[in-house]
Amino acid sequence: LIITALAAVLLLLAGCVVLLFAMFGELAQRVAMAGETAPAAVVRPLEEARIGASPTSWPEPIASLLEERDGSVLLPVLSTACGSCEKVARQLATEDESDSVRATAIIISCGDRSTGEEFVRRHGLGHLRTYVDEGGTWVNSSFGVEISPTALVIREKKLQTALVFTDVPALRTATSDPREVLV
Amino acid sequence: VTSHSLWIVVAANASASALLLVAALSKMVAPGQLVVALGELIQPLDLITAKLIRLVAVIEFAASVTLLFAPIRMLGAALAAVLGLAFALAGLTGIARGTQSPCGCLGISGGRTLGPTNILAGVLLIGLFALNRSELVPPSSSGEYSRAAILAVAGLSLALCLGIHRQLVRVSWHAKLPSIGRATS
Repeated sequence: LIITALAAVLLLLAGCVVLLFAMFGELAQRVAMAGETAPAAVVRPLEEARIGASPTSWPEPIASLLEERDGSVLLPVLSTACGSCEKVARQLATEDESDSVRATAIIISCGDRSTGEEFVRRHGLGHLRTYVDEGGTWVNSSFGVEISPTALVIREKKLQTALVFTDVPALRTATSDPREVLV
Repeated sequence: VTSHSLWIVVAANASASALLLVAALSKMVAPGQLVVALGELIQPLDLITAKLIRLVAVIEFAASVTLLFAPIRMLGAALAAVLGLAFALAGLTGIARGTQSPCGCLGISGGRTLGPTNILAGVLLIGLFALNRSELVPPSSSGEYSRAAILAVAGLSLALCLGIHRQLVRVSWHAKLPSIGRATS
């Protein structure tokens, strides 16, 4: 009888965990939806970014893009754990072909490679240049960026500014003229 | 009746019970996606409500619990068979009408629409009724059956839940960018 009672307690606890995960799942989905409906398009400089930083090594495909674009590119950093990144990823995937789009490579910060690749697949980013940054290690160690979505504006292979943003068209407007980029 | 056949019934009933438990609790918390998915298939649209989905969740929960106790497991198997029939019909209708809305089955957000997986789950649950009718559990093994089934369901439901929400677990475990909320604040 005692074993049955203990087993029942164990089952009750398992049920509570299942219920908790169901609630977390629902919450994560609602957070993502709230991100989609956020009305204001924010573009502001990220103060803690290391302005002027230039990493000793650039990962592919960013390195080849830098060569092609004379050291000036835009690197949006998205995280697989971020609600508003879902909306940003969809906007990036559906952008019309243009010069500024060709000068863009997307950095996916994620727990592990498979999660990042799944994010790329799910949002149809496969046709764009993407770099999966496991643990956000490269972005963090190179530029001190820990927040996403953030866009790294690279000029002459140096970080000119890092912009926190929630809307791709607003980001494109803010970075269209190199002389007027927010720093 | 051999002890092997008893363990086969325990394994089958515990697996079905764990599946029904996770499905029931997920539907209780978030019936929204299934309301949309079924609303796309069944007319009139307002027939499918969150209340109706939660009622189905209560039946699933009852089936899950009654499958765990040998004297009343036939009731659980019968409820599971009825639910299985409904799942299979929903899957067939989903294929026939070419549904596009994810069903949110087992609490999986996005993902699969109503289709082959639901049919397979339905057929297996109907098969469970036939297995339980075959008297493979002697009355003297009732206690042993219940203990094993309850422990198995605790483990299986946890494993199933972690499997379904692995993305959430992985992200929470590895996340280094504290981005939720901060980027938009």
